[in-house]
Amino acid sequence: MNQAGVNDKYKVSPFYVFFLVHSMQTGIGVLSFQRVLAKSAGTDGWISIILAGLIVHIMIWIIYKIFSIVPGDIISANTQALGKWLGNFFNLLFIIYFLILGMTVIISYINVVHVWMFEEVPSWAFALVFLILIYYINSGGFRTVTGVTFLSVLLTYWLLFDLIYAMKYAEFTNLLPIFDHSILDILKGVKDNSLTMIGFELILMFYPFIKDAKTSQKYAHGGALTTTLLTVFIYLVSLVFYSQKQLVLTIWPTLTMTSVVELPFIQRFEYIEISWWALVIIPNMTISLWAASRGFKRLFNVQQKYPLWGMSIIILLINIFVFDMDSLYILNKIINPYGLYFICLYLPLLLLIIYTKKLRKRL
Amino acid sequence: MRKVLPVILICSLLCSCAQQKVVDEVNMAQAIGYDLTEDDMIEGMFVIPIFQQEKMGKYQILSGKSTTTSDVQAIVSKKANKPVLLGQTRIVFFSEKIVQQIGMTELTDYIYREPQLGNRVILAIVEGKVKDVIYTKSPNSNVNIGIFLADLITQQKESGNGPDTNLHIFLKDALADGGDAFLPLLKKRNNDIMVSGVALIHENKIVSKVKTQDMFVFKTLVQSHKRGIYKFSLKDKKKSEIVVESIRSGSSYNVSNSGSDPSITIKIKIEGQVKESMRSENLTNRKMIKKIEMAMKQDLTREANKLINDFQKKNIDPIGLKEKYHAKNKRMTYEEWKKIYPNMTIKVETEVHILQTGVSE
Repeated sequence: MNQAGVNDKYKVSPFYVFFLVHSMQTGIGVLSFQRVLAKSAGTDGWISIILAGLIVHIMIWIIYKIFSIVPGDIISANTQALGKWLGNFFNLLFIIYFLILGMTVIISYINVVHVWMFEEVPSWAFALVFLILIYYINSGGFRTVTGVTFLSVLLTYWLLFDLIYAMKYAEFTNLLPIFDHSILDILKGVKDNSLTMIGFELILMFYPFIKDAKTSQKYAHGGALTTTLLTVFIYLVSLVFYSQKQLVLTIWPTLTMTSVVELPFIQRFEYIEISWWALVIIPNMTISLWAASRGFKRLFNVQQKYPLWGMSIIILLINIFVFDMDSLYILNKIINPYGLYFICLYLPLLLLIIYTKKLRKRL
Repeated sequence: MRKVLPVILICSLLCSCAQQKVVDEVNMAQAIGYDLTEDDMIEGMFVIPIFQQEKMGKYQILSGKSTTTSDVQAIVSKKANKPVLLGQTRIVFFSEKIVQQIGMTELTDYIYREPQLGNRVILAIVEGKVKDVIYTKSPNSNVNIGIFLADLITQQKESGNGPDTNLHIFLKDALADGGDAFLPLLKKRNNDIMVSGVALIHENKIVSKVKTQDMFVFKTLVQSHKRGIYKFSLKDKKKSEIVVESIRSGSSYNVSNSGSDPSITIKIKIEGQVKESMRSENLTNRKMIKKIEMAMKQDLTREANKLINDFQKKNIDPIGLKEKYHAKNKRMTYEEWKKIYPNMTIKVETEVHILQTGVSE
């Protein structure tokens, strides 16, 4: 437990948890979640998003509950609850999960850039630039990571204006009929929507880096709430902008939507949006790789930069030898449903185990 | 940190990884036309501006034949000194024949798939041959024919009777069940190219057309608009003609919920001003204005009814009544809709307000 102890000078104020959670949740998923969601839940997709948001709130509550009993991070919580061997096995799973999360984000973004802008530039060139940047940010420690996250949120919110622009083509009858889908469809929508909702679980790793960590719970909830509202808003705009069949056909509805924006000084706004999106993506990649390497450091007692190098090389190699489309297919399968079920089932179970252990000690 | 810095500097070597596309070194198509030749090949024409100092509006047209729309581009590039790129395309023309033979979905597949092309591209159908239209010399020598026609359609939708249209609006309608959409029609008469109506598309093919004189009613039915000109004659002995310009117009839809006897009420609301009156009578007179309002109301209702009856007879739904009906009746399937639509009672109620009559009496 002492291992998880972090010197005060490396800690960030609880307020920043809002940005960490919100930024980590909003990433590459925002560009494309509408399509899958429209397939399963159609006009009722917003209900799925709100339900997913509720689940996220419950999970955040569980995470804070776990840490109120065993302060530290998930690494120490796992070993305390499950013992050395089983605990470390789950620790490894978490590290792999964070690594895959970061990898998915990088490869998804490179895929978008390939399709929309530079089809002839090899993936590794993009990956190399990003990985060097990520390494550079990570070498500054968690405070730098938080700073970049904070800046990224501040610098990207203006992009919302293109949603308002798209409202010019809004057809509000598209929102109706409400409750057209069965509960099962809506629940399927909750699952399909997951890529825009996951990201909050990074609290598991950076919890010890927060000053007065307990007070940060309200900011974590605030971040998750903001994400939910933002996602609902984007989904509603997409619904009124596209017709159902068209939405199902469009791979990146958010980007295609920006291609109707016409400004006097720039004709094709989507190119700006895609480039600017790198700012949204960078904290996503950075935080997940930070978490993965931090986990590795805690597990094997090595300097954090070595696992970071290792992971960067793995990502680079995947980018060199596998096409984006193929690796994305597999990675998305791992994240959704397996990663998702893992997080959503494991965390409540962990809380249960920790709680019973605590009760027994008292007896 | 010192170690990282050189690595970051090395990154600048990656800068020219992507192929550059400098304006002077590519052929930027500003308009594309697709025709069907006698031997069922697709003939593509690309209007490409030539930039020269102090010479505006110079352009060349490159054309080529192939069996698919994207391949035409490759064929054309073979003939040109620079590659043909589509990033600046404003308008795409299809001939009536090519739509009937190949179908809109197939023709627009490449246009929607290609990220180079934005969603604001205007699509238009040409009556007759696209070739004749695209090789016409632009009346305004400062712009090429592609830009000229794109501006023509934009100007018509903003201040005339042309309905709002672009790739996005078209696909939104065309991809729904039934694929009822509309596109502006162009026609060459003598040496002028003009808007000659609206082509109505149903299940991939052009099935009907809205004539130019019905375009005001059609536009009012599909969207609310701020301009638009409507000409009608008073119903009395003199039959004098009145021209009204709309200021704010639009329509609202009321769907009855009953499953056995479905009906839709369309409320058209026009607020406009008298632009011209072919009758020497005092227009500041309230009575006269009431008379004009009444006459216009009847005229519009009749025209709208005629238009909608025609749609019902042909079982096409360009105004999107299906979505409005589905919004209230969620169990409706497309098959059911096809059955009930032709016999549905569709009532039109019109409301006309003349707000002003200009600066002279």
